Amino acid sequence: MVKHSKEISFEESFKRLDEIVSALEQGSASLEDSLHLFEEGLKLAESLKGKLKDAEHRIQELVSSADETPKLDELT
Amino acid sequence: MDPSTDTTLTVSGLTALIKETLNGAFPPLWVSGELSNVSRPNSGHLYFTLKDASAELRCAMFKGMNQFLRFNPENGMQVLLNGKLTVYEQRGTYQLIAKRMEPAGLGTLYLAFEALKKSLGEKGWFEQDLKKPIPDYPKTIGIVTSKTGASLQDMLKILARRAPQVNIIVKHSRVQGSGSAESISDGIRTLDASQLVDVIIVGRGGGSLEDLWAFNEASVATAIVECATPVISAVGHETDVTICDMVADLRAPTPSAAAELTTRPTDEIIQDIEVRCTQLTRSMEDHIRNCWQELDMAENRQSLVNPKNQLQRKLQWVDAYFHQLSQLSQTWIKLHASNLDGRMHELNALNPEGILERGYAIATKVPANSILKHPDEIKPDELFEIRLAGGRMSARKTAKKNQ
Repeated sequence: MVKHSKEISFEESFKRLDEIVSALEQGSASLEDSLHLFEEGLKLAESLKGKLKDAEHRIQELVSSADETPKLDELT
Repeated sequence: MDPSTDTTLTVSGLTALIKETLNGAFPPLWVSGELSNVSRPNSGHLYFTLKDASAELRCAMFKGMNQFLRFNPENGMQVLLNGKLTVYEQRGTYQLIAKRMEPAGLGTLYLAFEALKKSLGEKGWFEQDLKKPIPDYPKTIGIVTSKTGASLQDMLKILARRAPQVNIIVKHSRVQGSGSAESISDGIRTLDASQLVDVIIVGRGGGSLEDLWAFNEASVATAIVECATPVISAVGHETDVTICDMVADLRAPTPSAAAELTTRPTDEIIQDIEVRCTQLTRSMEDHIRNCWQELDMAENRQSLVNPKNQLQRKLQWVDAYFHQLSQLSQTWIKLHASNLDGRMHELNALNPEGILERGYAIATKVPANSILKHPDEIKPDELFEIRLAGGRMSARKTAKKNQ
């Protein structure tokens, strides 16, 4: 699986967002904690939307040759 | 009944014994030979003889089975039959009741397919609990297929339309002819080892059984089972089922379907996020409204310092902050996020509990509970109460003069 970046994956962010939604819906947190959660939720939502909009849809080809490690090229 | 005794058997009895023996001795089997005496009466059943240079075998293939034949059996054709030996009592002959018939060339492929399917099944390679989950939101999709094939273009088109945020890495491989199985398994391994992709689609467009054959090879199955990245198999059309389909983590009926299965349309995802934002805002509004209600109720409650003002200020601030947040401007959030903790801290400092936390104490009259602001407010020897962060304690003023 993917280990190329330390950034939190889309799935994980989405999961955290869902956790926050249910925590806030439960309403058991203090007002301060709720506000923190609310803010975290909004930030997550914005970053998720950002990830969807900013990506560039790269199409590449993984080319291997006998003596080298495979490298990425534009798909021709 | 034991036929070796002197007991006289009826013809039926003997035939029944023969039938029983034959059935027991021959499980369903494959047999190859040349078709002759092919006849198809009105009943729709198919009768023929299978023969080679020195022997003949009477065969029948009933209507229910022969309607699925992909070719028209003719005299002289070399075929492979799969079926069960049985005895036709009325004629006193034994015959093979065929369930499947394949032209000899293809037949060997079917045999190989069946054999591999059996051995991989025994190894547990088709087990559901071996299947890895397919990620809902892959960032990068790997595709192992021929880069000159039409199915690659179909997949790329669908992916570009549905999920322009997803990156694609293609690993070209031969998908038919000699060496194609090795090329496919090598492609899977290379993509997996690169750790660049979240999911791998392996497949090709439709073709004949021979065209799709590489996807029935053990080497491809092994590469898929050993692959750490989830694999989606997308070979041929809906009706083509390959070993590759069976070992993959998910089978897509066609390459285009695979492209759709791996991605959700971007606007659907955005909609999902918006729904969550609405839920967040609604819950937060509820919470703040509840706090205001509690504050109203607390109005008449007697307390240490008038908490209403403090709580009111705090609530007003939370309210305002919440409304600013709800404007949902990304830049605004970025600018203000770091301030939140500081502001919360200030608010806590306003709270009398917060003051106590910092080591201060509050002295109150007993039993009036009013705060002592000057030593003269109580007489020597009088009891009063001291409130610390950890709790209350009683104290008595000494006779000593005030400092």
